[in-house]
Amino acid sequence: MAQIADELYFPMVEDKHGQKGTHALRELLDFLQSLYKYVAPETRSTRILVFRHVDDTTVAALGDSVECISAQHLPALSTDPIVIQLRTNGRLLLSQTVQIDPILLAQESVVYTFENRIERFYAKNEVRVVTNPAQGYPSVFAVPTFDSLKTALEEYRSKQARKSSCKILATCWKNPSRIFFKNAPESTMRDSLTQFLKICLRGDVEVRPEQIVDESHPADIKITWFMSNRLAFIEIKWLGAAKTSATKLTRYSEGRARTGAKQLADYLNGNAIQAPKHQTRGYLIVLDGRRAKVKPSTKKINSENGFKYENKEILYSPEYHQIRPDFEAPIRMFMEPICQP
Amino acid sequence: MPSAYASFDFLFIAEELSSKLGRATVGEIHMFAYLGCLLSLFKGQPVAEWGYSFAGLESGSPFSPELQEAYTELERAGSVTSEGSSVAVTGLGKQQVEVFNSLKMFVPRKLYLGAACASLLSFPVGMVRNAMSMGPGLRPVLNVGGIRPLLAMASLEQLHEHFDALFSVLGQTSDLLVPSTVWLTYLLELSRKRDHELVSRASV
Repeated sequence: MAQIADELYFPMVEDKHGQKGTHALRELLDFLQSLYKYVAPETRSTRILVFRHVDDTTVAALGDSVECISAQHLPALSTDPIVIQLRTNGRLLLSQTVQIDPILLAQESVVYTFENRIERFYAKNEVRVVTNPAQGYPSVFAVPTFDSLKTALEEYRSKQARKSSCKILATCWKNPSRIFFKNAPESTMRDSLTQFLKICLRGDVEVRPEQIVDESHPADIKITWFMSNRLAFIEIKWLGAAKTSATKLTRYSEGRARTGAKQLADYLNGNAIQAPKHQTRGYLIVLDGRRAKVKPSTKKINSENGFKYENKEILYSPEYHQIRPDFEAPIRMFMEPICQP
Repeated sequence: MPSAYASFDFLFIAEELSSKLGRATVGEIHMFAYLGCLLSLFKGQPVAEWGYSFAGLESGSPFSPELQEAYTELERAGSVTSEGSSVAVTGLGKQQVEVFNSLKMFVPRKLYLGAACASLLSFPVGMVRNAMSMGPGLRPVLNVGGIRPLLAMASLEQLHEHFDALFSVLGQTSDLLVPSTVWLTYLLELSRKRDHELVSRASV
């Protein structure tokens, strides 16, 4: 616990600036959540610096700033670094022309910076990096929440899986070009989706990785809504090629997705016996990293081969999602490679 | 007749969550009420003074029968409305909050409940939920299943161990969010380790 306290920004701010500091920090945190509703941090290639002076004094260096009434009313921002001073009247001062050293500011302010996807808080001469367990999001203060599992999965498809933006998911690739998976990437994929759902899914819900439905069929993720009798099982399958050695690939094509559908249907049958009173739904997630014309020696890929399967939907037979009320339509998530001409 | 404390807490938390997250869910209201109760224990209040009890559900979530009773009564009286598991405070409910806010008996709990809800400044709600499920009392429920009373002797002892450790690290703090964020971060680390264990066990 001592180590955690030492690494966190809240104790640091209180230690350096006392009660005024924690008060300023609360306002700063509240503002950051508003700010990131209007300014996507991942779109900023230059530093965002936000500070709140503990005595609400205007900092002279911000002389040419623009005053705004809230984050919602910020003017169009250029690509230059952003500096924002929060005032106690709820207003803020914005400048995109000043260069300020956060340590200098932090002598009498609580300072936050976002730069190169790293968040920091400063108080006096101390600095703490913010731990962000929401691996797929650049800022822990910009994590969205979802009421429905289906919407959350759609977000995961577009924001996390598509470009392997989730840091956990990114590790399932053998190389940065995202042509081959590493050997046996399924546990990494499960961890990525579990982590995402744990953080982003709202409500009275528990997300647990790999639960035993019966002795032979573990589903990858189980989701329980505890104030109702709802359950969901997620089965994850990957398509594409995994590099198992320098000369060998394990390839999975759409037959693998159909096997996953059959497995999921079997899990649902097993669960119907074990938990007959629960309303259970099954979700098949297909992480699709298929590429055309790849060999173990392939080092780069062009767009034609890299994106050949981008829109190639999978035909299921039987179509469980059409014939079973507890089976959601499978969700295929195409994972883009980085192509070279 | 539901407990006045439970009615106040339900409305107060529903309002706080609605302003921070756009809406509140019943389960989250139980969770933040429990976190508020724990913060009162951290500040040395006896558990009996909270005014109502909690149980741990199989999923590792806290649940208070009194809070649930208050919810039913508030809904019947038109102070809150529900849609699915979401709850919204009505105009009548807001008037009630104003009346409650003027009463001295609720002043201390506003401090604890406010700090509990303010943890959303530092963590997404899903992370608070995951952290809380690792707390003493709730973790055994999660591990072995079944429903059991929270804040009973064994879990209370463990909680006090956690809080003693927190106090020895942080000393007196001016803001309850300081110990709250440290403790939730500690529990999140336990949650991460538990997931790792679950997966390792299932993979054997």
